[in-house]
Amino acid sequence: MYLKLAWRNIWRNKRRSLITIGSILFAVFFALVMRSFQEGMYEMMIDGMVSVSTGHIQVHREGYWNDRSIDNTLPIDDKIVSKINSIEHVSRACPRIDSYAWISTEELGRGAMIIGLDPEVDVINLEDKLVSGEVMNKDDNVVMIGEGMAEYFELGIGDTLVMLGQGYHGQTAAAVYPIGGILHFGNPKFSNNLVVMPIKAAQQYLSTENRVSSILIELDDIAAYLEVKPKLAELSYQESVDVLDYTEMIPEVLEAIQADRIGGKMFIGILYVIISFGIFGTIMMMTAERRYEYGVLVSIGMHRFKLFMITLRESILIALVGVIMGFLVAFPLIYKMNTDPMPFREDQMDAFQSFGIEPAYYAVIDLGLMAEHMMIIFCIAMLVNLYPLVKIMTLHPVEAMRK
Amino acid sequence: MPIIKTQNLTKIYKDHSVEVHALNGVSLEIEKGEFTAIVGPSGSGKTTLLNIIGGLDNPTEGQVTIGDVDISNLSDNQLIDFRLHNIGFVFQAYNLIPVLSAKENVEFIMLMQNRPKAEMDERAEALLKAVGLEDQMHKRPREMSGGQQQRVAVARALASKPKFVLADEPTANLDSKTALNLLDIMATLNKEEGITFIFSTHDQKVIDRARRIVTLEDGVIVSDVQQDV
Repeated sequence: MYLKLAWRNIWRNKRRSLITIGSILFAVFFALVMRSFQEGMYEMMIDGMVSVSTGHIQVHREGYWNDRSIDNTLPIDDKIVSKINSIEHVSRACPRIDSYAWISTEELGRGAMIIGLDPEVDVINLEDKLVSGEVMNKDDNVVMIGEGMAEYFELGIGDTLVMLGQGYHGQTAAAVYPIGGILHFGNPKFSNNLVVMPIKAAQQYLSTENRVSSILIELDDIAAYLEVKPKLAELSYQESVDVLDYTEMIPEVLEAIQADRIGGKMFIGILYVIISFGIFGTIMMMTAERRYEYGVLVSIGMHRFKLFMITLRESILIALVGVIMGFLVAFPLIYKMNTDPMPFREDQMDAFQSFGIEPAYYAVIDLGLMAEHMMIIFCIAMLVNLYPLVKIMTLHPVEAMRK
Repeated sequence: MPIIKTQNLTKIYKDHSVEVHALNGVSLEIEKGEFTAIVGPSGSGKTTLLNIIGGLDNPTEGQVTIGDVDISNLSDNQLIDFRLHNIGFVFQAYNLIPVLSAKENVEFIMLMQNRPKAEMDERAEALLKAVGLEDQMHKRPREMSGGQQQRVAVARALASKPKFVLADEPTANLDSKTALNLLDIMATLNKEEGITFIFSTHDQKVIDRARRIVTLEDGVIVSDVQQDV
């Protein structure tokens, strides 16, 4: 009957209860949606960096990360790549060779990043980025360039460009390559300055034979990087290696994310304070309205703590209804934006693309994150009940019943 | 042995620096089965006396003994328990729980006593029948008249099997006919089941039905008379 009493008490003042439920619903909805979108954006930022430039883990020759010279490359063979691919959670190992070159046509010139990769296995999805031309094959002797570079040099498919740079151990690297494809990159740094070519052609151009700058490793679960790293370090390579994970390779991105995450949490914190006062106001009104009734119940023999437990049951029911409804309203939106992210408006796209972020509203489905915020709001609703607890515990029945 | 015994009760309220003497050495004994009215003008100390006898308020001086228990020495929790098991209350404003039906209101006090469900059911129905509300059991207070609500309050007061019932101005909010009807019910319960009733009132109808009338003035008992009804 206590539960029945609590439930019926909730509906004694429908408007007040609905306002309280509405406040909790709004807080849960807003917190879940905002944090899911925020974490979604971070995930896209990391994915953007990881998929194009770093991978989840990289294996390099020892010292390469701080001295990215072509002389500091690592000799590899197919066996080591197979061994890496056989480690649990590794979805692919992608050898790459990176360098810089002076790119020129008849009239123009510009410095560029050169990435030699195996188009059949690499994490970069050339098919998705292709604007015109064809995706190169691993044995081709062609290059693919970013849209920005194509525009700058006014180059099209079949045109040639001259690449001049420094090869292994000071050798001159110079060659002319036809353009096989033009690629779209959101990040202007890549769009304007990147030349992608098959790794064999790049090794030949740089005279490095079987040497690579890095082996990028993509994992099936980003969280497994700590587990995979030591296994990679245990393998026997031809030379000493460093194994770096993405947190070591893009710390500035992760720090920016962390700073932004704190800002988001502070914003949610302010929302929680506002909601707390809203709930507190309704609980305070309820306590004042029911003071007389509390006096009667204590008079006829109800223990104060039992009386508090009845009011707490009411608050638990209200908070549960609000939290569950907030979740039910927020989840479909989060689910939709997770499975089918909504693209930004045209005018918003450039700003995000310039940061290398996929220009779409994407939300993560993180049940832990959702549970955390639902629990915080539920706890706030419970904490506010300290007020009726204090009032009931200090209530004098005769004074409470004095009208 | 008296069911209630007060000795030299004094109650002084302090309002800032002003002291108000609500009771001035009230000594009173009430036997089991009495139907007693405590009367007097407003401010004479009737309600204060009832509150102290009911363990709702503490005397400044003096002692209240219910049966063989000196309730002046009980802690707050002990007093709540004592009230639950020994005293029935009927208030001027009925004070039923608005979201519970008549039967649930009566059962509620037994629920607090942890009585078995079957007993609660049976006793609530019997008590509501005794106060003439067998056909109103499932109505909520707002669906009932003032008289019906006060009859539910009487049934609720009796549900805990108390040693006595304290009724503070029980007819004050009722019309004459309803008040008489309620008094009939309480008088019958008193006569047939020996339930002790103590009223504070200035309603002449209650005074006429009471077998003992204690008159208070300025916190002092000025007369204590028995009458034939």
